Amino acid sequence: MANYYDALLKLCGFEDEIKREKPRIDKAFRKLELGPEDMKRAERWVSENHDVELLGVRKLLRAWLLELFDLVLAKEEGKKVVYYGYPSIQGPGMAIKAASEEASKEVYVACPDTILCHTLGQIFNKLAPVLEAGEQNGLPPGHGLCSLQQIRNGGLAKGIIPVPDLVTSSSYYCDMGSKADELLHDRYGHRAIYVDGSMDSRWGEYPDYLPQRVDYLGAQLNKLFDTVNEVLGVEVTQEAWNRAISVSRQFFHAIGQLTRLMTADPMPISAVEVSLALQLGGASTGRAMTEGPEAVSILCGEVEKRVEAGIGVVEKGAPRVLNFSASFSDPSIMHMMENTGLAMSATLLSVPPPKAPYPTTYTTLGEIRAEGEMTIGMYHSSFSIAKRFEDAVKTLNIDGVIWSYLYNCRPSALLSHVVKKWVEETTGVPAISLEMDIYDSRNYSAAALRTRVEAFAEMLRARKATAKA
Amino acid sequence: MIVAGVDIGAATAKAVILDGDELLAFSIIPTGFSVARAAEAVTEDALAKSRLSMGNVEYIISTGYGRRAVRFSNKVLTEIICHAAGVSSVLPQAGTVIDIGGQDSKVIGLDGNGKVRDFVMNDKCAAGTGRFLEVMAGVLGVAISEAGALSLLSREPCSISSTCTVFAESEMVSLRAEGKSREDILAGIHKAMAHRIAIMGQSVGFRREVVFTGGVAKNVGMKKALEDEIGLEILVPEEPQIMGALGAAILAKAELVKMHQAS
Amino acid sequence: MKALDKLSSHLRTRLVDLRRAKEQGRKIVGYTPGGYLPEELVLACGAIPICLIRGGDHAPVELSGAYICRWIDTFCRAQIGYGVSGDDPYYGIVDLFAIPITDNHIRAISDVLDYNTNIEIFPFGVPHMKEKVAFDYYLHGITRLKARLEELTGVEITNSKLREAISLCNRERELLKEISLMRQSQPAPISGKDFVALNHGSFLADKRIMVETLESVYNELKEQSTPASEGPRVLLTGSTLAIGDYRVIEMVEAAGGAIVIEEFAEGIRPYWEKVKADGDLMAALADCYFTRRVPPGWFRPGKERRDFLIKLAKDFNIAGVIWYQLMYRESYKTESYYFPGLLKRETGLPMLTLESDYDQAETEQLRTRIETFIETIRR
Repeated sequence: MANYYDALLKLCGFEDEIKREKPRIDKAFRKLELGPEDMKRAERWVSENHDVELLGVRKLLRAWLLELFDLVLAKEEGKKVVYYGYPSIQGPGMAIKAASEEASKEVYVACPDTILCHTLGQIFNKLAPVLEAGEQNGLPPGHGLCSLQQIRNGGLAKGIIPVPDLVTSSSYYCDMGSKADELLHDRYGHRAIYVDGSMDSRWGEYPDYLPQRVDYLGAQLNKLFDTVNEVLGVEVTQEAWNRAISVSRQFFHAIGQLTRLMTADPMPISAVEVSLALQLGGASTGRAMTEGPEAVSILCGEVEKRVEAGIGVVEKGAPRVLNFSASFSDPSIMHMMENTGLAMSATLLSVPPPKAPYPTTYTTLGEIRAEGEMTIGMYHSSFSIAKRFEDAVKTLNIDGVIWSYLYNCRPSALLSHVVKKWVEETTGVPAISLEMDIYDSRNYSAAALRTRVEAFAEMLRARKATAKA
Repeated sequence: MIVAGVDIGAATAKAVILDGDELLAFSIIPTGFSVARAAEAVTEDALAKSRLSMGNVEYIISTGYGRRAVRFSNKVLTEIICHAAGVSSVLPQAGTVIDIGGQDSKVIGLDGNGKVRDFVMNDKCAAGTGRFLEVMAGVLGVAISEAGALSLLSREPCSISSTCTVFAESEMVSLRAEGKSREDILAGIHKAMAHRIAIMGQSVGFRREVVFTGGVAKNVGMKKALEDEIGLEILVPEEPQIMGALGAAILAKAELVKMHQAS
Repeated sequence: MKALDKLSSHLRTRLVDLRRAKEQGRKIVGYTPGGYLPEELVLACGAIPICLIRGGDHAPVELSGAYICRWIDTFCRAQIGYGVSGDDPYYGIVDLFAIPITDNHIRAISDVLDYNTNIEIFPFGVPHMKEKVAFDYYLHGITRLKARLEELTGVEITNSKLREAISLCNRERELLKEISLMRQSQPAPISGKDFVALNHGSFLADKRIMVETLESVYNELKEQSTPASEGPRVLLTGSTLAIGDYRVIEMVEAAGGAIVIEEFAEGIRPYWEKVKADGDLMAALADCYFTRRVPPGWFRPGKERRDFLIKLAKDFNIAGVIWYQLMYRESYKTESYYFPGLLKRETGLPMLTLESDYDQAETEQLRTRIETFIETIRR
């Protein structure tokens, strides 16, 4: 007997397991209020926006959907639930998951906001109701409030995602995260661990940093692990950490391969798919590690074949552009950019960050991780974002930069004008400042952004033509 | 080589017919409700003035807000690129283009070869566009064609502090009630708009020669207000409103030349 | 009030005084508001502390549009506008701009001005929680600042100089507190407008003159009280109350309300605690400025401040709370959503939420809300 979701799930890489998983899938879609109409729309949306002829892409979509089902059903399936948010510190989520597996405790650890973006957004094109629910429950529009927080708030308000037992990494370098979690605590009563970072890195200081920052952030992270032990009875040890690293190593190695293949000319696949892979590792500690490596590895194989055959999604010789990040929820924006003839060959988030010193002089997990954060830079240092753009342009043979800053993310927005100028001054390559919301495209849609991107593409092509002549 | 450039803006549609380097004719009409129909009408009108028909035209480029709805064009380019090409052709020494249309405004920086170096645009907020002036002039009962000249008569421009068209309107009404003259209020409105454009364009930088295009460029008061804000003389082409369509036509010719060379 | 008049004329010529002091070789140290800059360190090396806290005017906010997008707190964009334009003369005379980095909006001031101007920016971090590691981090920050100040002025900040400065600043805080506490009586002997004028004056005035002024005011008030309004008693709280941003206060008092106590993250000098100058003086400074200070809204969690607001509401016998914040300060926006419920549960009091982007167009809208609120809480 056919299910109303068979066609969509097959399109998204599911095979015989639909029959086996039917009870779960039924329950999950019911909770998500996704019916036959939604499936039809999703089939169109996925076909139009994802490279579904590639098995690797379909398997990635499958991994995301499985993660969505895990998220939605976590409480019902008797698991403890831990959420982390963005900007997230890489690692603690994975380590908590690895430690809980070792302790044979069923703990679900993930970033629910980005899971909803990549599924309700990228597959079902139905994220708006969740955003609206968030807006109606304490995070109204018109104030530049973080849409990722609106999504979490809305997801809880609609009963789509379970109330967690613990929220970790709340805030780090943004002020919004902790306030949004406090609001949710006021309503649902769950506990949040506020991991605090200090934002006083001076312009130009990075890659240097005050060792006191490692002390402070390190202590915060150690506190996080202590609290996890207290609340969940799970001890995050060095062994758990090492295990998490080795498990994720395979996944991130495949991602690295994929980003390298993106530098081929013509660009063999869309940045949408690379981001789909990359963000799976950022949002999920479960399916990313169980289904992710195989999916990405299949994808790499298929992309390699395209490169050998000279097949691309943009024309050969297209200007190569570096931007900040693909939209998490709306693939049509990146496609619009590609359709203007730009090879969106790299995003800053996909460029491998600098490596932490090895061997390290620190001994506790928290401090080792904190040292890593200082090396990566990103939000702890505004300057590091400008510097990493500069370095990426110089090393990746980039023709132009689209600084797609997040209008409602303060660490990003404060750099709206500065990064553009810095890139142009230090690399000589043209850059535009493109105000965006990478989680909520209602006000920053492909149509709204098109003229600017198109003009930029025309500019870059004219430059290339002049340079050739 | 007969080519055409068609610029479909939100308020007006423009078409330019070129024969080689010679401008045969141009036409400007209101866009109205149907972008596709406006495109046809304005092109036919310009062709009629040139004593030509659509069949004579070898290549057409469309630009502007409605560029995608022009079914008969061979290629689509943004108005930023087309304005740069159009202005550079009539004023080769142009370094910056300020374009203020009915519903958007832009500052375009050119490099030494008349190509776009950088640009910034406002298409979200009415306060930096022709609409702003239209609304204010309307409240004062002044024809938009006279508003600029009237503003130049002001001795003491009012200070307009509202950043939003809607609120500036009520601010104007209260200034009028206070007995401020129309000239002073209009001068204040022009000043406020020029200030906004100057700030927007600062990231691109105003380099000589600064050229003013778009429907609002015919407003002498706006030209002066901008000159005061940026501290540079501003040049206005003879037909500032057709620069986009002219640029599209020039780029159409370039496309043809490229195609002939390839074959 | 005579003392206030004297203070006004002192402030009117302050820039002239500062320029003269600069010519004589003294250094001017600017700093952002927020209560985390120990002025004692600046005074102890002979430099002059000046808080850069001008606001209320939209012009610099508009100018900042060439350097940063609009989605940053209005006050902070105004500082960027002042810093890049030279329209605020105080920005032009500071030798060092010390910025205690509290949240991302203050960080915007630091990064954008550092990149775009030649002003020397000295940022140091203020953690968002009060654990020992946080105290250590803050202490390290002010210790770095101390070293920079000594370098800048060529003067060593000795313990005795520091003790002297602490004594002076303590006296200022003590007097502000005494005067503020007088407003617990009904009616309050000094209006909110005048108290804020005093508090604001302390950000720019010469410290000794400020203390003298406060002594006079205190004595004047003890002798004859010029009672402020008998109207409904209001607690005014929010993110930033800048010098020049008096619209809300004036409208509340014009509507017949009496602002008897204020609590702001930026714009009201914290005066509830004194530095306990025994033992390690730097640790003593950190203890007063960081540990014992009621934290602002961006602390994680913000419970201590919310509890303090409720305490103030009770201690000052408030009839209603007015929450006045500037646009895009998300810490305050989010709290303003559920704090009214908390306030109602704990005290039964109503709260009015007001927002501003320093735009003249908002005036009538603010007035309508304020007048309505004052009417509803009038008993």
